[in-house]
Amino acid sequence: MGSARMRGGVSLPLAFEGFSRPFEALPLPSRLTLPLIQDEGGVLEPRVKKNETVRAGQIIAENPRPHMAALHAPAAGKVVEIVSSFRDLRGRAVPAVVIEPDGTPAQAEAPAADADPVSSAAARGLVDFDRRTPPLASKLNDALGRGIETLIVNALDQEPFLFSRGRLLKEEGEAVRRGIASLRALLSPGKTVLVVESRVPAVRDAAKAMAGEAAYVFPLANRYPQAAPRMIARAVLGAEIPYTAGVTVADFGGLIVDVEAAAALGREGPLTERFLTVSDGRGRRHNVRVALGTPIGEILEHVGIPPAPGGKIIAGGPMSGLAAADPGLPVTKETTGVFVQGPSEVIRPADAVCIKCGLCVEKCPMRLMPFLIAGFSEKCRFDDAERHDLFACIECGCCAYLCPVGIPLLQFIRFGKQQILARRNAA
Amino acid sequence: MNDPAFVVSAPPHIHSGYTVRRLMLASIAAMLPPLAAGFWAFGPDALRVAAIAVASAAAWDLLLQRIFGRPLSIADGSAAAYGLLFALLLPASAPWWLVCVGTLVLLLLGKHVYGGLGCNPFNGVLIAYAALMLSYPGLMQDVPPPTAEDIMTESAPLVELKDKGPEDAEAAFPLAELLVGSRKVTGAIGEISPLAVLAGGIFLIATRTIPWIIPAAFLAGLAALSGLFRLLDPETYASPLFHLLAGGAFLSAFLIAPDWPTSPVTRAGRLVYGLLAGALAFAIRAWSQWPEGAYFAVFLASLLTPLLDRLRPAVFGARFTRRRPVRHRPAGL
Repeated sequence: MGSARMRGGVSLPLAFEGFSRPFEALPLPSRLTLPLIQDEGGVLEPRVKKNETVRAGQIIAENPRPHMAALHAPAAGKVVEIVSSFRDLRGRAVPAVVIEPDGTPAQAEAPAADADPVSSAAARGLVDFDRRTPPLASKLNDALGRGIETLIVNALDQEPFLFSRGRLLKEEGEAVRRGIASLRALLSPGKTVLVVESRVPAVRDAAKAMAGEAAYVFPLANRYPQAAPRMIARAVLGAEIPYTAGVTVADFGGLIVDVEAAAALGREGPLTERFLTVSDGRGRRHNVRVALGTPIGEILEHVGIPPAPGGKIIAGGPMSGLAAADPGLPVTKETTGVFVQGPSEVIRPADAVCIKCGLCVEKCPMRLMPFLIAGFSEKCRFDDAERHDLFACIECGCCAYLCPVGIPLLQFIRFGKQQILARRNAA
Repeated sequence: MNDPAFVVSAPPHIHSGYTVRRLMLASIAAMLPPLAAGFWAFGPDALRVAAIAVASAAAWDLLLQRIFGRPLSIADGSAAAYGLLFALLLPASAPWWLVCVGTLVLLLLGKHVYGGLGCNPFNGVLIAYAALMLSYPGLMQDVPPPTAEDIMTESAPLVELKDKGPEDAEAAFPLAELLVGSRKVTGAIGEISPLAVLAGGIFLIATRTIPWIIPAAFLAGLAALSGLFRLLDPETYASPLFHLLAGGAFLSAFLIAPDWPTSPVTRAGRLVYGLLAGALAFAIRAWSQWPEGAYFAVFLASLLTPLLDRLRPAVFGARFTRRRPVRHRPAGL
């Protein structure tokens, strides 16, 4: 598979022992905060009122549009507040439901047996846990409409220092297997491929034992950002998906679903928890199983990595995660992990000039000219930036990670995209 | 809810630790072997020139940063690195004032008038070299004889080639002596031992300080064109190996041509840049009045850098945009 390997990107230290860490179930916090927003579906409408008692797994908010994802109460308790404008991780002001768990154990509810798999995925609130989290129902609906040839289940972790996906294969193998089986039953793909980290034999073995006849195990050395959908598609399908609007993996006969989504599909009931890696990047790393709505700060306290003032709390991984201003921000369906930095580890971008060393060009997995599009964006020459394929950038951050000058290239690129979109919307 | 105690900034949140300072320190480390070879051939004079060059470059840099109102960035090591590189192009006999004039030109015309490191369109070392070659050709080309007693010739290999033709030059300078360096061969401080330059160059490539493709293309371009003319007319043209090992070919290929701000950033651009510089080096040596053309060749090739930067790889997936997407079977299953 030499030709299919990703070109560019960065090799980052892989913490092999992270895969052997079992998921610790975190106790429920005193308050669960659930922002009513679905990344690629917009704002949800609340289905509960203040002071209402909710059951565990009860729908608390829904999107009126079809093929979206509902939001459920992670635990039984009382709705103590419905905040109208909660600042979420991306800085958006969104409504949020706050639940105080009362300790009532969850009761198994009879699943709606007659529902078709797509609307059941929507009703169970399933999403695909990619960098963006599109509702699984809309992905499945789209795939059903077009027909797919290759089902790709991605068990590569998105970022260095995260390894929850690899661990999930081992620990939740049965759920993953059932999830893959129901995806296969629904979509009847010609091939099913399970992409796993090749450098950790334990993960490969777990994948082979789990997949059996149901899927080909496809080992890939996880060089960041190999787990990005375009890079996975390149490796498995041998096709490069252009960034042209409207072109997706489906145009090349594929559907990529990540392993945590497959596991959630294979388990019964609604999606109310996440499997996350919590790491400080130096040696302390934990895999945790945590209810949606749990404040990130409580996870950190539980695992014994208290965030230090002047440091950084990152929701996601160190390369593309978002910094949280407040440890009270909750885990959502979009949280891919937690990464903590001490004050001395926080990097400060330089206000200096590019020396044209060419490292960013050499390592850009999308074969862009990062220094050029970042430079154009910085100077508000947005037409020039767009002419040099600004929108092809997948925001992996390799350029800024490598830049010897310390230019915040990705920040400039994101700024450029944002400004262009804002201008377009205004026009 | 807002606790200002935590830092919020855009991703990525980690950095490779690879800094300009490290690039410059690696370059300085790579220049130590050729400097040592120069010391071995010319004695303390080589070190004197290098010390004056580094010290004066640092002093001019500080002064010019003051004058131009830029933040002081002497700690990044760039003044020292460029100063040392400039010293390698000088004869060991260069008087102190010549070195200081050169480093002033280097820092002023090669860095600060354009806005600092990275903004300069031309390599300051080459600007300074060209300025001194035009202003003081005697002092620049009057290389001292090596310290050894049994000198066979007092001129540098390429001067010998220009004056006496390939047969005499190749007889006077065996290839092994040109490669390793010998007290019978003279030239600028850094030209003494291509082997020492190669050692430094390999270090730079191994530490990913410079891309391998520029030196490789430079040497290939020089070897190809000189080889072609050697085949056509062996009476007039020296062998490709002589061209590679004599004078500043290795110095240009490994230490000057890969200069970051003035060389192209794409793979294809770097390839063309290197080939062009190598070919021009031969052309200037063979058909101009200058015996050594390698430095001028790099200078000329770098004029094309903005153009060569347009040789870009196709953006990911660009090949598929013009035709209808096709369905692919999984490869290798």
